[in-house]
Amino acid sequence: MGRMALLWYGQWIFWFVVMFGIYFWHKKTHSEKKNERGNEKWTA
Amino acid sequence: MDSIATWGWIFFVIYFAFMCYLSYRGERKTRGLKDYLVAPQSYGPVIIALALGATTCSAAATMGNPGLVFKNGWPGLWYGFGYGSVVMAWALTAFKLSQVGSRVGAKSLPDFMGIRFQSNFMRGITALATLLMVYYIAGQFAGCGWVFEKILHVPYNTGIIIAAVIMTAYIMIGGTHADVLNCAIQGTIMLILAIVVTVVTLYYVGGITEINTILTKQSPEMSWDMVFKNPFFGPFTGPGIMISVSLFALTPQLSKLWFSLKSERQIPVTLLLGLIFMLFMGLLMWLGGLGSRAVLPQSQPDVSTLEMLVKYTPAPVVALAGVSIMAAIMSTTAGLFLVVAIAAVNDIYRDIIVPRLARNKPTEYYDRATLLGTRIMIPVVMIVGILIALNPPKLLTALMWVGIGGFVGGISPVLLLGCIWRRTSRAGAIAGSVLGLSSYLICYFVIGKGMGVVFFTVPWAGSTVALIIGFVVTIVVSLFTEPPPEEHLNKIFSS
Repeated sequence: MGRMALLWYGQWIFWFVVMFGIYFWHKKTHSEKKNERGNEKWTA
Repeated sequence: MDSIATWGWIFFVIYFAFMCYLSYRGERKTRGLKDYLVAPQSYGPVIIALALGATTCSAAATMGNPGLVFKNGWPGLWYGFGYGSVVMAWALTAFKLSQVGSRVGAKSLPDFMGIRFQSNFMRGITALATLLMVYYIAGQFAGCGWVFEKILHVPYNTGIIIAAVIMTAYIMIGGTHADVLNCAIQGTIMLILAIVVTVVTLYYVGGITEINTILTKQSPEMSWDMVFKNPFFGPFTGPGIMISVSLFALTPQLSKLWFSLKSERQIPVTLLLGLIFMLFMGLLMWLGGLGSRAVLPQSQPDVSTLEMLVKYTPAPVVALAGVSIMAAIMSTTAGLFLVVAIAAVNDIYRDIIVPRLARNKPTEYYDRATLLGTRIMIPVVMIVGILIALNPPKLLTALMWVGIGGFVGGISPVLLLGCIWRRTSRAGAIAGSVLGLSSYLICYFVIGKGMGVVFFTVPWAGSTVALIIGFVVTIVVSLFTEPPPEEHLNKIFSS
């Protein structure tokens, strides 16, 4: 397989990894914030 | 009338009926100026991802870009690299745009820039750069005229006028709601076209290795071993087009769609769905361009994919492809009508001129006047676009870049930095946008068109130089000038 073909396939894999990364990072950050709010509620 | 035209008219009438219904739905949902301009927090990730993809991909994505791959082979895919990185540009700005849209009530991209940098100058220059998009509208009209002529057998000029009147009508009636809903349907039709082209290429033309062998025999410069091809996809212009296409994601008709997303929490899913949509459009460009070059090397670049479908598929499929191309064009153009009209009436008249006049009337009066003015401005934009388009361009993509390049070079670096870097100051933003925009105009019109320097006749060479200047100037000036007030930044940046 040629260099340009590798670049073409590689960049799509890269962007999917990045977007899934953002998805899971955002999910984690949100659930942490939700837990913090939950704890505040219980301790208040 | 041949069977392609008959099927074309059948699909066109069905598509037209859908558009009428969705415009009616859009009109019913519009309850005031803000609804008409942005449809705030109204739609979920699927609708917004389809709208983002459909608005991004236009006549260029369905005709011009497969044509670039047809003409240049694998190195032409530098343009397609931008399809993936477009989503990264969305990711960098979407959170901020969505927050400012819901908290501060930004009504358009120029409005966002005005709020972020506390500057009417930034609001004004972004609105003026938006007005440049009228060239992009003209490029889209040319594509519409072509579809009407070749598929529906209607004369080119009449086709342009029919398409323009339909788009003007649905945007005038339903505003942003009609735009978003229609874009979602148009995006779905475009996905069907991408799937059809992928299947036809792989089934009838052959696998990737087979296609590459044929291309290499035609010209070794088109093979998958070649990364660059001058002047359009050279070591500077190749990555340059990728970055410019990514920053195209920040143009006003796309940025404003984030104001319509229901919740900030839905942004990551919307980004993922947007990436899947762009992947399908990438397949259309890649396999459509290479496949048609392999089997129809004598074809015209811009229409090669369609000619490949004519060769291998029955009339209904070709007609559906024609209507898909029209859907791609309409989805982009309708959004552009709206943002150009909003820039002229809301951003320039309502937000810059009215506050300077003696305001002796209630706000509701100006809101009503703005709504009416925006609706009247849409047909004016249509007429200007038609006048430019009646002189058909040789290469669709080149004409469109006259409008896009100004925005990409002048505004997008400032917008991107303004979203991710708190320190970006008002002075930095003004200096970056003025120098970015003027350097694009000098590169393309003076050095490229005027002096005939080949490198700058490539439209995205000028925009790449301009955006480098824009980034550097904005950062340097921001570091040496007063930072924005902390209280204002907290309002914009706190999560």
